[in-house]
Parts: sequence; C-alpha cells; structure tokens
Amino acid sequence: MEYCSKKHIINLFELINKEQINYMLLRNINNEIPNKLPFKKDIDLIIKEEDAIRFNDLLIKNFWVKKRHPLGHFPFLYGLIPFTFYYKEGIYIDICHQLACRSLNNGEWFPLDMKIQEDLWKNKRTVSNKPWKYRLSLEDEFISLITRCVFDKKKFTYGYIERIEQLIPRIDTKVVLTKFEVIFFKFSKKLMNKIQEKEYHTIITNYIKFKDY
Amino acid sequence: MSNPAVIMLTNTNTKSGGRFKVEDNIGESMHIHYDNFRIDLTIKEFLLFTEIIEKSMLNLIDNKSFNINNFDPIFLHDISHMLKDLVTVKYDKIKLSSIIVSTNGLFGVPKWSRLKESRVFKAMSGDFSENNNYKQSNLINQTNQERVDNVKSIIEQKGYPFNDEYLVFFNNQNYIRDGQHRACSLLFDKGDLEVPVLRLFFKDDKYNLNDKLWLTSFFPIMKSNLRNIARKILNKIRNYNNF
Repeated sequence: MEYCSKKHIINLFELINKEQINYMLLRNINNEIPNKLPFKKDIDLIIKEEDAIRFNDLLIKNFWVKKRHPLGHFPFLYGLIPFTFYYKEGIYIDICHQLACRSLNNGEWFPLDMKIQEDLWKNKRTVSNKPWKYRLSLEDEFISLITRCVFDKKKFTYGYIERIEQLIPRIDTKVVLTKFEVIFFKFSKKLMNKIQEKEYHTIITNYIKFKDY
Repeated sequence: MSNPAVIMLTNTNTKSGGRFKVEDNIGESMHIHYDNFRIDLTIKEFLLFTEIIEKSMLNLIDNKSFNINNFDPIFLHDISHMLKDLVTVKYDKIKLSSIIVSTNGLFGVPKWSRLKESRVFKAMSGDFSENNNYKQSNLINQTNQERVDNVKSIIEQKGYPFNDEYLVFFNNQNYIRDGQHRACSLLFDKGDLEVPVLRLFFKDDKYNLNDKLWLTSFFPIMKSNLRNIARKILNKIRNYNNF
C-alpha cells in the first residue's frame, strides 16, 4: 500500500502550530498518522471558526489547493458551516468547524448540540511527542467516534472499536452520558450499556427499533 | 439542537396546500406537523392514535369488504387518496406467471414484463444490477438487496399469505400494485403456482394503468433525462469557474 509522506504530514502540523491556529486533530484511527496514512486518505481537523480565514490563507500561501469535499453535496443544516477540503503532495485534509453528524433521514449534515460545541474548545487537550499539539478531550473524542459510527458510517468498524475500547476505561461516563442525552435522548443509557458490553453489532438496529419514549 | 435520528414517516401536503408530516424523533418523541401546529406524542400515545385513525378510516370507507389488516400500512398510505372511489374488495386467484410488473425497457424507459423478468426475480437469480440501481423506499438502513433477501426468507419460513397480507391488484388488471417481492419469492421457491390475491375494484375502473407503458413514458423520461444532463453540464461549468 502506498502511504502519504510522513515528512509532508509533519510539515503541515509544524506550519499550523507555528501560526498558532486554534485546531484539534479529530481522530487518528489505527494510528495511521503520521507513519501509515494511506495515500489519498484524509486527515480530519477541527479549526475554531474564528481562525478559519487565517487558516485558509495560510494553506493557500503554502500551495495547498482547495478541493471539492467528497460529501459536501449533502445539505448542511442548522447553521453548520460547510466542510473544506485541501490537497497537497498526496495529502488531503478535511476541515470542519463544529462537530457534526449526518441525519438518518436524508443524510443531511447536522451540528451536534451547542453545549457539546462550546465544551469542545474548553476541553481541548494538549499532547506532546506528536506532530500535532491538540486533540479533543477523551470524552469528546469518544462522543465523536460513536456519532460517526452510528450516523455517518452506520457501522462500527474494527479501527473505531479499537479506539473506543481504549477510551472506555479513561473517560468519565457521567460526562459522556450527559452529552449523549442531547444526541441520543432516552436511548443514551442503553447505548452506553451496549458499548460497555461490547455489543457493537446490535447498536444501530436497537437504536432504530427503540420504542421506550 | 435537532435530533439527528429523525425518521420521516410521511411528508405530504394537505388539500388546502398546508403540510402534513409525521416524524419519529428516535429516543425523544413522535412529531405530527399539521400546517403550523406540532403535536408531540410518546410512542404509546402515537400507537393509540394510529388505532383511532384506523377506526376513522374504516368508518369513512364504510365498506364491509375492506379489511385494513390485509394491507401493508405503507401501501395503504400510498393509496389512501383512492379509497374514496373503492367499490369492493374481492379475493381472487392468479397464476404467478400472469402477473405483470414494470421493468427497464429500451433507453431505460419502463415497460411491462412478466414476473420472471422483474428486477427482483433477477436479483434472486443472481443478477443484481437492475434491482440495486432502482430507487425505492426501504426500511431504514436496508439496501435493496437486503430487502429481497429479507422478504425471501420470511416467505420461506412463514409462507404466504403471511400476516394476512396479500398481493394486491386493481380492477381486472394483472399489474401488481403491492407484493412484487413476495410474488417473486414464491415464483423463485415454488414455481408457477396459483396464489390467492386481493383485487380492489374502483368506480368506473378508475386507477387502471395504461397498457402501453413504454410509449407513454418515453417522451416524459427523455425530457427529464435531457434536463438532468443539461443541469450536470451547467454544474460542471459553474464548479470549473469556482476553482
């Protein structure tokens, strides 16, 4: 398999770190970044809305090219800022400004609840010994992975399950449940139980068939 | 913020031009939107409400031959506007080989064909392309192929008619209106049987389909295809200019 250049990935993070862009790496499934990111697979970053223009200018100045987002043709609802997609030297980066998921109805993009968005930046986690400096808090990352599996991918894949299981013993379940309640409502507790019991394959069917509300 | 798991159960306009929507907001509540009103119900309340609606519907139709349990609720929703013209419902028997379905004809224009040539029967026989490319509403998260497999397995395990639901035909025509998947499963598994079906008879043979489907569909479909091609070309030009 052909991989993206590690050097180019490191250069990207050096560039945005140096310019003090307010960002976080959304996920690193299978620890692909920076060594084993398959060619043409993207890096998902969340950039604070206030830094969006500065970030765009920085990338354009450094010869990144803006591309059309592969899933950008679905409507963006409730004020969600459309994603942007950049490309340079075999690397794609996928930029969002809010945590979002796709609706089960017609696949429209939705921002997660305002409370989650606000907490996101307050809970920003600084990491060391990595090209990137900032990541989502463990709880926010957990929520982001679960919503991605349920709403965007509609399945729990191996890499996601592996990361979810790394996070389970480290997260504050009460914090996650409070945030789940503005996404999954009365299904939240059942969802958490299913994750803890590792019943990933039944989550989506059980969610769609859920009736206790 | 809104619930991302909203399943639209129906979205239609009222006679007065207003909207009527029923949504299942999973984990939260059922919403019924009627013009500018929204009614929130629990699942229990919603199910009770549907029972009342069913009773009202039967009172309105006022036809002893009509049994609501014989029909798939989604099909019933689709034909609800026709029920005012219903004269009677009769049980009949039909050979599976005489059932007619719509399939893709020349230039992708629909034509009438026998059940053996249907996209569903072809999918059961291993030729998936026409069925997989067909746009239809399935259960949430269910692909066209999963629906074929699911119905086939129900018919194999529980037989036909299952749940008292029959293949449906209108008047004296053999164009299947509901139950193509069930009919194909029966034909695939048991061969050319004669099966019990329901016929809905409407006033003056209303809602009969045109026998010359390909001819009547050709111009509207070509027009729509040309419009789509023109739209795609325009979008490409617009996107090219944006970069």
